[in-house]
This record gives sequence, structure tokens and C-alpha cells, in this order.
Amino acid sequence: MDALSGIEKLNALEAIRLLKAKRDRAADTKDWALYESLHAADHQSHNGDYPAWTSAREMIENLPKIMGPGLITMHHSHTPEIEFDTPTTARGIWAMTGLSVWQQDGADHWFRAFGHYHETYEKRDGVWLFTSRRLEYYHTMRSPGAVFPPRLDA
Amino acid sequence: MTGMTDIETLLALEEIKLLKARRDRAVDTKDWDTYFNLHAPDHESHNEGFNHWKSAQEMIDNVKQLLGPDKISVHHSHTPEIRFLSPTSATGIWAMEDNIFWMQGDEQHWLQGWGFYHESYEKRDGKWLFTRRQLKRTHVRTSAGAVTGSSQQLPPKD
Repeated sequence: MDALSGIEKLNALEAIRLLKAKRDRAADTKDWALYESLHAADHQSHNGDYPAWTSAREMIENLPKIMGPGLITMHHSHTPEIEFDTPTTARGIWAMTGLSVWQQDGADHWFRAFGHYHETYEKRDGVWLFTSRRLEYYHTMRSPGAVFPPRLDA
Repeated sequence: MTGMTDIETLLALEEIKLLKARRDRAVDTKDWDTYFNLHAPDHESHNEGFNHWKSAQEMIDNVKQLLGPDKISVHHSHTPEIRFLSPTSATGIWAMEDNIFWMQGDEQHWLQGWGFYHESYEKRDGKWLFTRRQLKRTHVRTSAGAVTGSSQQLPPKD
């Protein structure tokens, strides 16, 4: 049973969907200031391709390097399952497709992934924020010879 | 007129979207108990290229067979058109894309398809369930030499 009901639940669902939409857009447009502002300071990330990050600061120090100008990304999220544990805490699962495109030794390469985001959110000072994210892939594909994550600084 | 207030309609829409999200995740993670429990026992499936399945049991027997451990499936659904016929019954149309990946011997094969799910839902004992699903395809393409699922379905039950 959800901890929210009626119009309060509908408003909170929209706020969390907006948060998610901004995160996907911020990642793909490399708007790291926007990206950081969507996350609580103690946000934790567990994403398949990278080591775990235990704070928003650690996440934002790593992301601009990992997803630098040499890597074009597409993150599309679909069909959320959002449930409220309390009026100010929620869990969400989103279906996702990701595509990354980059150059490796002068050739075009790609990485395609299918999975689910498992996330938690908290409303702090009236604003919904991400507090954790875990990306579980159930299938990935890559161009022959691709090294992913790519070594963008190489 | 459905006899529902605006808020009741919006809340019921959220419950049906949640039902759909769980169905797509259950099929792609092969969580067949969850999948089965999202459907009414008398659920009917009419998917293009497949037999008409006349119960949730017939559906789950076929789906398990068609999407066994050898197949990876991706079902993504978008932009629902949900219409309430009463406070406890509704219809929905969802745009969809699916991708299936599998091996034939040591060759990788795939199917990519698009279409629209036409569905019906009923609220029974306080819970929304699927009662009907029809996948109408707009296009399917496959890798060269792919042997697709319709040849692997169970014989029809009459």
C-alpha cells in the first residue's frame, strides 16, 4: 500500500518523472551542473559498467571524464514502477535502453544496452532528489573489437 | 460517462500504467510468476503470428516456451491511450517496439518489431488485471536466416 494517496500521490509521481526526465537529458547533453543538482549529497550509484560511487560529489567527479566529449550517449527510460514507502521516500524501477557511440583507433564503435534502473528518491526541503541508482543490464551488445567503457583519454 | 471523478480517473490511469510496466519487466526478466499474476484467469491473447490463447494458463505455457532461457527479449511500450468504460473496466492502446536476440548454432540472430498493443483491463477484488491483449504489428524485420518464434508455439487448445 502506498504511503501517499489522491492528489498528493499524483503530484509526487509527476515530480519524480520530471526528475528522471531531467537526469536522462542532463546525461545526454553533458549538463553536469544540472545533473548534480538532481541528486542528494549522499546519493549512491551502482552502475554495471563502473565502480560504485558513494556520494554525489564522487559521481560528478567521475562522470564528466567517463562520459566526456568523445562519447555520445543516449539514455531512454520507459514505463516506471514507482511506489511510496513514506510521503517523502519512494522507490522506482524504469526499463531502459542505452546507446553509446565513440571513436576507437580512428574507427566508429558502439555499445548498446538493455536493462532496468532501480532507484530511490527522497523529498528534502520540498524537492524530490535521487538518493540511489542501480542499473541492471540483462543484455548488452557492442561493435566487434569495442572496448567499453572506452578509454577516452587514450 | 464513467461515473469517475477526475482524481479517480488519474489514479486508475496510474494503476494501469504500473500494471503495464510490470508486465514488460516480467517478460524481459522471465519472472513468469509475476507475469501470470498480472492477468485474469480468463485473459485472452491474440498476437499476430500466433494462435489465439484463451486463458492465462494457455498464455503462460506458450510464452515460457517461446521466450525460454535461450532468448533475450526487450519489450518497450510507449504513449498509452487508455479509456475507461466503467470504474472497473478500461481499454488501452500502447505503441511498442520489441527486440529478440538468440543464437542458432554459433550464429547470432535477432528480430526487431514494431506495432501497437490493444488491451483490456478489469479491476477485480480491488486490483487491475489484464483481460485481453492483441498485438497488431506494423513491421517486423529479422536477421538473414532467422528461424522465428511462431514455428515454436504449442499446438492450439480447443
